[in-house]
Amino acid sequence: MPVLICFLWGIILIGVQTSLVAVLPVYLPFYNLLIPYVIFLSLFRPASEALPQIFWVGLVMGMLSGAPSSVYLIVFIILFLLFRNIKTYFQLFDSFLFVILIAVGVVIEHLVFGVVSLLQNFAVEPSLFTAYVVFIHFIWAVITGPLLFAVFSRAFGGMDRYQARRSAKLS
Amino acid sequence: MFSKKTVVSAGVIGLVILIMLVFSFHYLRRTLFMDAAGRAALFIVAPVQNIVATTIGFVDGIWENYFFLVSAARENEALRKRLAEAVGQVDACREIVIANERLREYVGLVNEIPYQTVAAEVISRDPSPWYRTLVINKGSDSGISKGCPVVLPDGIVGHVLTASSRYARVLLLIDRNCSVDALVQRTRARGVVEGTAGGRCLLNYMPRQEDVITGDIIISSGFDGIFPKGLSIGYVSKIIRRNTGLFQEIELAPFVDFERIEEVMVIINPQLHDLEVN
Repeated sequence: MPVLICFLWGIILIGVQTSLVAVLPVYLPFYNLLIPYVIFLSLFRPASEALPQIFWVGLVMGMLSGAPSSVYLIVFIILFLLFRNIKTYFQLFDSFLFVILIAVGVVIEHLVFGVVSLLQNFAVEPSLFTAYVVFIHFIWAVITGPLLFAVFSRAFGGMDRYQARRSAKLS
Repeated sequence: MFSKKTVVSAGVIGLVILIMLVFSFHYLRRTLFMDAAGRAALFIVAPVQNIVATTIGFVDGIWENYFFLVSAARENEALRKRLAEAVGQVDACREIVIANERLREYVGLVNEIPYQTVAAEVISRDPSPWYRTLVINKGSDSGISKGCPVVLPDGIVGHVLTASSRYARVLLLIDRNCSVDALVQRTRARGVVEGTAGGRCLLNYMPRQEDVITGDIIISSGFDGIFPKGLSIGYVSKIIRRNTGLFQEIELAPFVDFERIEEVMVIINPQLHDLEVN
């Protein structure tokens, strides 16, 4: 059941993100909402729970985007590998670390997409607009990070409590 | 420095990533499996996107219909004045339409769109700014299939990449993976319009000796087997003729405003394409 809820949670996030992109003005492009989700999973959830969800959202995003089908999956796996044990090295408040990592994650995503574009066309145009998009994504990440941290913490905390109650009932 | 287990895990993950990269670029993208997977993803996610888009539209409607009433009286007054002007313009336009119809009859032009179209709403856009696609709320149930041209009265929007039963994904003209065989309307010189990374369009493969000037209108030639002949694409905004090279570099300004597309028309009987070029 929790697995199904998690998978549904991923779909809802993808739906919200892709639909939100359509209504926001062109000068305020919104960043990938799956990045905070993947970072949260990497930092605070066991690998056995995080990895299937990362694969799920990565594959679905790849199928929905015009990008090569596994690019999102690659971005998410890179984020997972990079941030999995980062709490060991940076002793910061969880929410503060989370916000910083989202901003870094956004930049990493753009770097990977840049490399993929280079591999596809052997030509990337380093335009001012791209730099602007990265900057705005960065700002969005910093602004929405604390809110998303609270939402994810509550959602996963609630799910954990539900599971604990259920297992206590069964035993 | 690292344990053997860590090195092996990193190696396996690296190998998986490499295989995925290679496959997604060169093989998997073209298989039926990937096409089916794309349709399945649309089938799963598009209803959620539709709900979110409807909710956003609902909230937007409340905002527009209620809160904006505060300024409605002033706006009403201004609109009355503009209406009076518009009525005069409509009368003039009616005369032009009548004259146009008469002239069409003279030259024997058919005044009907020879294509069957389906109107659809845009419910989402590509999550990545590096690629330009959008999802519409009509699919194979409405007759839409892979490759169907997507247009607006202004011009070409793109073509359908994948269609599930109720939704379809459209590759926009400004995506670097999209190309349209095109003609310069004035001189009938032929080239290929392609999207670029920066969301612009280029008219490629136009020989240096061809007469192209800024402001020339570019239309589809019909030779690509996707877009019917004569659909507007854009106008020439910049030309660079270098001292070397076979072709001139031509930049286009598309007629369609890709950032403000809300509804589109999908041509669902592309077998009617006219493949002749004058």
